[in-house]
Amino acid sequence: MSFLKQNKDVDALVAVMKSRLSEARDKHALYALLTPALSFKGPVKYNNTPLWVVALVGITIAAINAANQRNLRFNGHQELVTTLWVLATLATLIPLGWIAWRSRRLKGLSDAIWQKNLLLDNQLAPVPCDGAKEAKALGQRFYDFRRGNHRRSIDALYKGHYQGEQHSFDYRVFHFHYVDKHTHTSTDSKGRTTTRTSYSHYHRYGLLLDFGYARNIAILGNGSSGHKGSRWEPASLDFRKCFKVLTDDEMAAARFLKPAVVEALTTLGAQFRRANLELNADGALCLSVSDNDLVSLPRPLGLEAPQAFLALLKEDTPLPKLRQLLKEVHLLLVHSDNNF
Amino acid sequence: MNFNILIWNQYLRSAAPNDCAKPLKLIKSCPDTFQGRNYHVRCISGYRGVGAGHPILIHNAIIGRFNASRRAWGDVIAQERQKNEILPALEKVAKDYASHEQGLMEKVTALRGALAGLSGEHIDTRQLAEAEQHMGELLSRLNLTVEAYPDLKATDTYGKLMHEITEQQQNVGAAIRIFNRNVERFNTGIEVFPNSFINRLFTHKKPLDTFDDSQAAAGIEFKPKF
Repeated sequence: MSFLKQNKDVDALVAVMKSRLSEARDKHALYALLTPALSFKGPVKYNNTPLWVVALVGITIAAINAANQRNLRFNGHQELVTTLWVLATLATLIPLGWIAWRSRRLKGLSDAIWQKNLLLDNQLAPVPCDGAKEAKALGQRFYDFRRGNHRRSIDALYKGHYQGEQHSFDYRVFHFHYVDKHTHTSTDSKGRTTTRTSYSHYHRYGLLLDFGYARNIAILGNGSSGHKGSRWEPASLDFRKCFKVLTDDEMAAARFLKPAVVEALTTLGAQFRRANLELNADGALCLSVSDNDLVSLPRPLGLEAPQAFLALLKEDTPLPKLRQLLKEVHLLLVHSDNNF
Repeated sequence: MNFNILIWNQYLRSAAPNDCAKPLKLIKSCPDTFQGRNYHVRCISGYRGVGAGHPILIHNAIIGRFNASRRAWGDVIAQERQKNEILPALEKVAKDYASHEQGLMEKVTALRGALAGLSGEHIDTRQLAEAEQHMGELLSRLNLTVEAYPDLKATDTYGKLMHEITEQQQNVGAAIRIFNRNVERFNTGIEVFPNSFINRLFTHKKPLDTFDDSQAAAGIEFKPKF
């Protein structure tokens, strides 16, 4: 029964690594985390052979039952047919479900290690928060968090620090998840009314920071969610295609949207999906986009190849889109400050 | 070219009744209950409206792009004038570090004169080219001053000055690129068919020339035909 031992060992390995992962605070702790996987005898994966056999038996029973059910029913064995169907279904679905759960467990651990590595490589630290409360608090500061008529939550929040040539600033990266509820009522030819409810899920990712050099300006590439102000347009026709500017002070908007800023934002609008910039009354900036790879990247390897995975973790893995957004923010600061 | 015929043919090719709501969204809705000849009459009248309005839309779009190009040119001049902000700091550097050298102060004075000559109302790009030329000469002179006085590089004033100059040059460059892009879109907007036809008939706008920064550096005269 070597497969039992192997699966037990993998279970123990996953449990140990999961507990250590939550305690890992730096890269070295992350490398040390992989030590048990490196010294693991055999491949770091579950042996699912017995489960596949059971599932195959279940499929065989189902096939035989399907072929013979007419004869069995004709001979008065209705209960036997039903019993065989139940047995076949259970014998097929339970092992397959178990295999899927095991696969997800290992993949989930690899994903968690990879995500931790990305955060450490990009000097980001998770900020524990209550998603719904945080979304509500941000909704009081920014119109951009007032989207969704059903549910709003901050699914992930990280804090970081950017050191540019001229400016440095603390920032937070967020993953905002909001849900729109739609109710459709239809009446058929007989006058019967049916109501159907559907939910649309949306995700926004972005940066929050204290900007300070401009206030009450919204540069919208993702439509308004209650943003107020009069419309202002810079000279650039390309910019006008990407964004709509709302402000309560046109002079402030004109000062903020210098040609270099307009050009940079036009480029940003082309490279990111549905970008929105909102400077609130306190001078805080919320820059949000729909790109879901702002704080994540696809994982090329996992625990199935621990040696190669460790080598991958030891490499510096930048988050290019996040760095680009931070560079854009730095450019905004450079062009908004007063050098004298 | 008869737009009514064009759009009518397009309508005949379209199948669904709801398609009558598509052209430029001028017809808000065609209820499903609207059947038969009345429906077609309604759609035809809608398309006639579109056909009559189409030249007006083209004319307005050409005017809009022309005005955006003019405004972009105004931004170029406005950014160039921002250089007035750095002149006091440059004079301070000239007094503190190069008081016995008249070169830097002369360049500052020449740039101030060139900036004063810039006009937003009367577009004279020779003046812009001249101002850019003076700016280039001033920066060269400033570099010579820094080489002669290494202490200058470490001063707060010099650091701020260089940041300001860099930002201003970035903004001038960006303003010129935005102007060129607007001109490109304006020119395309009056050259493609049927816009060229409408322009020849009603709008009477001529293509504009883009501004090449190297032309300014070389002192070649450039005049957008506003």
